[in-house]
Amino acid sequence: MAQTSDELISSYLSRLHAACWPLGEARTSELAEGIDEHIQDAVAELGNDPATVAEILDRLGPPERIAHEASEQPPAPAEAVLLEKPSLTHEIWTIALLSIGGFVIPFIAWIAGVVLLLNGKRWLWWEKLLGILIVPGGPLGGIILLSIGQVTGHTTVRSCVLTGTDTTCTTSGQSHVWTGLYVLLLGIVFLGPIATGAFLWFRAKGRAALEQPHLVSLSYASPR
Amino acid sequence: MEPGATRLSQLRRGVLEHCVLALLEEEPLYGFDLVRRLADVEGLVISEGTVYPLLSRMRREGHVTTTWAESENGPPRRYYALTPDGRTALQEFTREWITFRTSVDRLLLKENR
Repeated sequence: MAQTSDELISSYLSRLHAACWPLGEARTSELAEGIDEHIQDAVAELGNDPATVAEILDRLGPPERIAHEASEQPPAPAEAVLLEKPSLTHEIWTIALLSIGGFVIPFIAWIAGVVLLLNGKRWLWWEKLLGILIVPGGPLGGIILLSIGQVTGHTTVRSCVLTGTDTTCTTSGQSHVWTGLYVLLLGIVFLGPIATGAFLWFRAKGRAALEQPHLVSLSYASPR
Repeated sequence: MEPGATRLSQLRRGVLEHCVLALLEEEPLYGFDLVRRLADVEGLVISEGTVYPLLSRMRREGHVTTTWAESENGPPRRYYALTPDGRTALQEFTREWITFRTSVDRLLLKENR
């Protein structure tokens, strides 16, 4: 019993779908659409009778061979493979929030920075501890600033100067000590974070440089 | 299958892609038309359907793009066209092919003398 043209075509397309199934839905529909159009155009130009249709399908070749050809095509051409260097975005944000964030959104930015710091994959635990302590808004800075008050309140120095027969003693030196200590503490409060930030940055960068660049495979989901 | 056919089929597969690019250089073509012109070249295409997986790969590579155009009778038709990258690939292949062909000819023809 001879098949009709439509039967021949739909049977061929079913075989094609079945054979292409391992390739995935996207590639299967792309192939099926292209070949379906081919068949329609061929029939329009050459004729719709079963004999002609059979020859058109014969020239197309077995669906299994088409599927095999499609599976032979590499999914990602060699020259299009991308190597992406490890990104240090996380570390940049952490250091920025920890150090400068306090000037923009005090405390909250620091909390965010601490969260990022603790989640960082490129720092050891003691490096993270350092990052938490020695930054503006961090505990050490706070402790230091508080103690400045204590220092200026309680430090006094008596100095006596011999002038002639008199001894003039003055209680002063608060300002000397105060100034000296103040400068030192301010130095720690402001330079410390810079040093810590730099330390964290170079540590992370050094570790990132040792990491393998990872492959980013191209996505073919969207047709051009 | 004869051994000769196998050897040549490897070569065919390598050049087929660039033959497609060459045909598309003039103007965009729809699938059936493109395949028919390829089939005119003796021995280039064994099974016409295998051109379509090739076209898919060329599209993924960015050498070919598909557009739709109205046809006189029926639904819009898919046309395959060359991209600038495809044009460049064709030019490079043509240069290499000519050099290669000349060298191979020299070797083969010398043997047969």
